[in-house]
Amino acid sequence: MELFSSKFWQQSRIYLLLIALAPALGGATNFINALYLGLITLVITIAAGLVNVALKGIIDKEARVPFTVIVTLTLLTIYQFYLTIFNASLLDELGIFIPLVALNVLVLRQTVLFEVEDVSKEFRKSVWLGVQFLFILIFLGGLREVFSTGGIMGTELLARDLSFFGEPGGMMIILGMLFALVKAIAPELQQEREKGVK
Amino acid sequence: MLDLFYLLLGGVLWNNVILTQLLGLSPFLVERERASVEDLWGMGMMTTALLVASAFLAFLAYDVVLLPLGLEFLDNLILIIIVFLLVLLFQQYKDEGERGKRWHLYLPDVFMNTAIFGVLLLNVAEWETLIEALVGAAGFGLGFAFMLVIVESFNKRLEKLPLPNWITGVPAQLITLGILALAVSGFNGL
Repeated sequence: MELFSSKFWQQSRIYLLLIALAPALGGATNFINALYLGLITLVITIAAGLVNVALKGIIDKEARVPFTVIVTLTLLTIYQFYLTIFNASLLDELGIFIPLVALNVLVLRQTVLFEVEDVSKEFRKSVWLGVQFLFILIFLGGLREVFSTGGIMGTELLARDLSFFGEPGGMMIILGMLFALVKAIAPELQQEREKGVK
Repeated sequence: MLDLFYLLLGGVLWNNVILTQLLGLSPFLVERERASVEDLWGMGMMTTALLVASAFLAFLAYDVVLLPLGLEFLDNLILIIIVFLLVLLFQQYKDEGERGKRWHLYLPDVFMNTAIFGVLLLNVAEWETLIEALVGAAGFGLGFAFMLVIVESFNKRLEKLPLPNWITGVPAQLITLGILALAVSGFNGL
């Protein structure tokens, strides 16, 4: 599968983190959901990396992307079984966003381990990206919860709530505002991202 | 007949995957070289084709194999295998000209965005007949293509406005999308 050549994964950090947000945004409706989604992504990233390193010589290089996705999806299906028994309400809220973690760029990035010599460097880079992703996601989820319910985890913060921010449109506006803020205070980050796209 | 029409229109407007589910957002999150409307429409049509083909196979797999055998819990794995096989099939398309080049340029983008897998996961248990599955999938694909084109048209208008430097590009695009999502939610209950 030439679709994912290793060149694609040499993109800049910010580019990868932004694309990684795409499958998780819909699930991050509040702080707790965002925390769970971020943690699942981090754990699955580590697990996919370990499996890929362990089976590097056995699995054909051509099949690396389907292999990684099917392994991670199997793990996520097992996690769904666990949630059905012990935490059904969380399963209802996250819904399809649990299986979608398998298509997250941070997980797919682990396919690069089949190609490179220095496995530990790439592995550490992926885990570090996963940690950063976790923080971005809980920040976004927390912000969305504060705006849509007027407080966070039961603590009142705002005098009134704007239920619009609980809807998907609100998430897009929050993300757009944060983007603008990042662009305004850190123009060099912007340049790094543009360099990455080209 | 009218039901099918509403299913198709619903996929484009009030059930739009991007505006109501936040799926398949990745083309809107990164700044890239400006594409022409024809290119974006082509990418949208490719997503639609992939979605209709995978909905056909997914419906057969779910209703003919998984449901009678009581194996519904395997739907994640079966659906992703179907999507993979179709992407591989699409990759076999060979054309030396401009069209073939663009085809291979879009394929990673179309595969990477979660719209196809997400729509299948959400709807495979809901679709009752094959026609319904095909029309529903076509509606979701057309909704995606429609959003790609409409956001590009927005960007052309936004370029002419005297906006500060830090809000142009992706931030303006996302805020416009948010307002559009609010507008589309007015169609709810139609």
